[in-house]
Amino acid sequence: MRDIDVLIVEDEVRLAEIHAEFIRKNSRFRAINVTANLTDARKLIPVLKPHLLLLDNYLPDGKGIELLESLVSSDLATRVIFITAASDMETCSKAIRYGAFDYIIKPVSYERLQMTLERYVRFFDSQQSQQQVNQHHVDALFNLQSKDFRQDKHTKGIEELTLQRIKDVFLSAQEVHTTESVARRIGISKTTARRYLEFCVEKHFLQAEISYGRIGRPERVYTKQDLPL
Amino acid sequence: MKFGHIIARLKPASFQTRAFLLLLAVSSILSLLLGSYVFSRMEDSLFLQIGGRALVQARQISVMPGVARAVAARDTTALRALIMPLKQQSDANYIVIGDSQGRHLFHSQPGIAIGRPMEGGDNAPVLQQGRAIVTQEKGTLGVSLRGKAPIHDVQGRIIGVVSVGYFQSRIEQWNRLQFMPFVMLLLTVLAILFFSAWLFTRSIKRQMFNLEPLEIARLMRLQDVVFESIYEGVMAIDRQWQLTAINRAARDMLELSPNSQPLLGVGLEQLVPDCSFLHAGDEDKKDEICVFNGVSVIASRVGIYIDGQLHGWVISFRRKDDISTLSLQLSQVKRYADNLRVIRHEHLNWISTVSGLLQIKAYDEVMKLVQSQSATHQKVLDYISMTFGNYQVCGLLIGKYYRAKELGIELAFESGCCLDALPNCLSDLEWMSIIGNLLDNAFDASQSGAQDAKQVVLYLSDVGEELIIEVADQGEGVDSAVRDRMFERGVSTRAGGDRGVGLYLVDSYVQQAGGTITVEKNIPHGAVFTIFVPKKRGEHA
Repeated sequence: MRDIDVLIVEDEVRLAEIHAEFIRKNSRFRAINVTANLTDARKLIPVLKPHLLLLDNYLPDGKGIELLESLVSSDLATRVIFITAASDMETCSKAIRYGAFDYIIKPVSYERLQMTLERYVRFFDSQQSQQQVNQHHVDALFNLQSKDFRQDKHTKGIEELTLQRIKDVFLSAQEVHTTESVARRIGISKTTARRYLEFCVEKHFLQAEISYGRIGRPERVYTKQDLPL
Repeated sequence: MKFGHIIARLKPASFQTRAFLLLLAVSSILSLLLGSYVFSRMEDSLFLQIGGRALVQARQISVMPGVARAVAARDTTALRALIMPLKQQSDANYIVIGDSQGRHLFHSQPGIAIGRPMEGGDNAPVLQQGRAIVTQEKGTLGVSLRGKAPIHDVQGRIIGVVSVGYFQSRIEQWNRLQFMPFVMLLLTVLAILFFSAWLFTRSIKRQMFNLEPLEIARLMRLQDVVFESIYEGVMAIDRQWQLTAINRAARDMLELSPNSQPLLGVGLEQLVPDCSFLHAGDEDKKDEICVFNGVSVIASRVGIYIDGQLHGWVISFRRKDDISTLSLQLSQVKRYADNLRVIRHEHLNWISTVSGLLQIKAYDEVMKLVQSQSATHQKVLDYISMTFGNYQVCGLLIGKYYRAKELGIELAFESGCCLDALPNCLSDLEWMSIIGNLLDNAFDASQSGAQDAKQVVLYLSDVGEELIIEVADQGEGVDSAVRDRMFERGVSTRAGGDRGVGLYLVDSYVQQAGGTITVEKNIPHGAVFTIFVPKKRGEHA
């Protein structure tokens, strides 16, 4: 397996040393170079072609985000772990947009950095090993990059027990409910009731419609769909 | 085809040409009429004058001593001797003396036979009634004007006739001579008319900015429509503070008559009383907040200068509410900045805590604190960026999360939140406005509530066919008095300036996106605002 080259861009020398020391502990990471400013980084990247860049945002001669921006448009395979302060959420959201591999809030938690490095190793290996690109592979790569597993999303936070109790409320086809009545019946918050009810709508167990009731504002009411679940 | 072609070539001449031709035609016809009238009057008077002269000469000759005697004796030689010197002194063409039968006794022209009857047939009144007359007849020598007088003998009987004649051609020649200067004058006048008509039409054309009257009319209408359709209220006044123009928006806002005609020329003091902004000073004013007829407006005043001379002012204004809407959107941006300041403040506190702990050598405490600090931030950041697939939403929620924290409110995300992308029926900015306003309202409600549980729950999901945004707070709930009207502009439960626009904005955006807002009571108290927006338009039943 190929080793992973890393370039650390950090102007605080001691911090850079600590980063380097930490990364060296991991056997998969090889040449670890350190540079303290953007100018050097811009010169080194095309030469070294590092796989991974540990990029701090605040540098003496500019912002790390600018380097990230220019890397996006280059055809280098270099991925970026973006490091920024908690107060700089604006840059953080930019980094998300430019496709940073990950972003870490200062003070850097090495546990968190370790997780990121491990994720990168997985990403790197699957990129290297799989020559044949298929949809599954693309999805997996995408998920590794966005560190999220979308298939979880739909069922996330849905507990079977609560779901069953919601379904029980709609025993007969004539039952018409709002989040209010369901929340009171089961004893959950209205927002939770909304979440479960909308989940049932999505699964075609229930149907939702807007009812313009007696008092001005509309209400969303749920009834059982004719189709059995 | 040919006809149409000709019509096309006869395209209407320009205004300048038409005005010029009209002026020229009218003046030419006038001078022609005048000329011919004067000509005929001059000719008449010339004939009258010449006729009179002929008659006087005839009369003088008829009473000359010796003439009557010579006629009575038919002594032609005596007559010749008598008349020829007269003829030499006279400008008459001929002098003829005839007997009582109208036959020639003498003719100043040589070669006319004595005894030949006189021609013209105009001797009867002279010979029979003894009258002296002027006639114009064709005689022996052609058409001529003649004066005739009878010759009486001693007893008073008519024994002959004297005729003094002027040839018509001679008279006409004279007439022409005196008419020539008049024609010259007329031609000069015409030339002057020609030139001044050209100058006049050209100057008119210049005053009309080289536009045809039709174009001017079209332009006027266009400007009128433009003026009327400006969303801002616009009024123009002259130096005497009298209204010269007012558009519809201004009339509506000031609640004046819907028609502008009766307002023009009315003093501004009567239309908008008690407003120092309008009446004071000469200088330009910009974006001043004032009250026109009870309406809060932001108004500007600019002087109208024509060739450096102040002619009046233009006043433009719009409702303050309209501008508040804009400033509200701006204030969202300002709040981001506030968030950053809050975070910085927290950070400084944190640094001093660390420094204190280090000084008392509580190294484990420092370690724990440092780890927990970045861990909390990292967790929030990771959660938000993992859950919401729109970086703007991420940015907003991160900001709101810290804002809530500073207010002592917990912003909780209902588990199962997820967002792939915002529907593009609204712009990102508008979505931000919806989410931001709902959260801000919830924060406000939580703060005003006396309860300890200050939690705001956000649920944002686009799993199904619709995008659902739900914000639940545990404040005091929506006052039933405002419940029905809370989405109207300016309706607010809170006191203060720029309130009462947030929900109005949210409502208008949601309607624009074809979605619905529901408002319910939370359990046990508080309010739940839920927004349902179909992800694809048209699929929503």
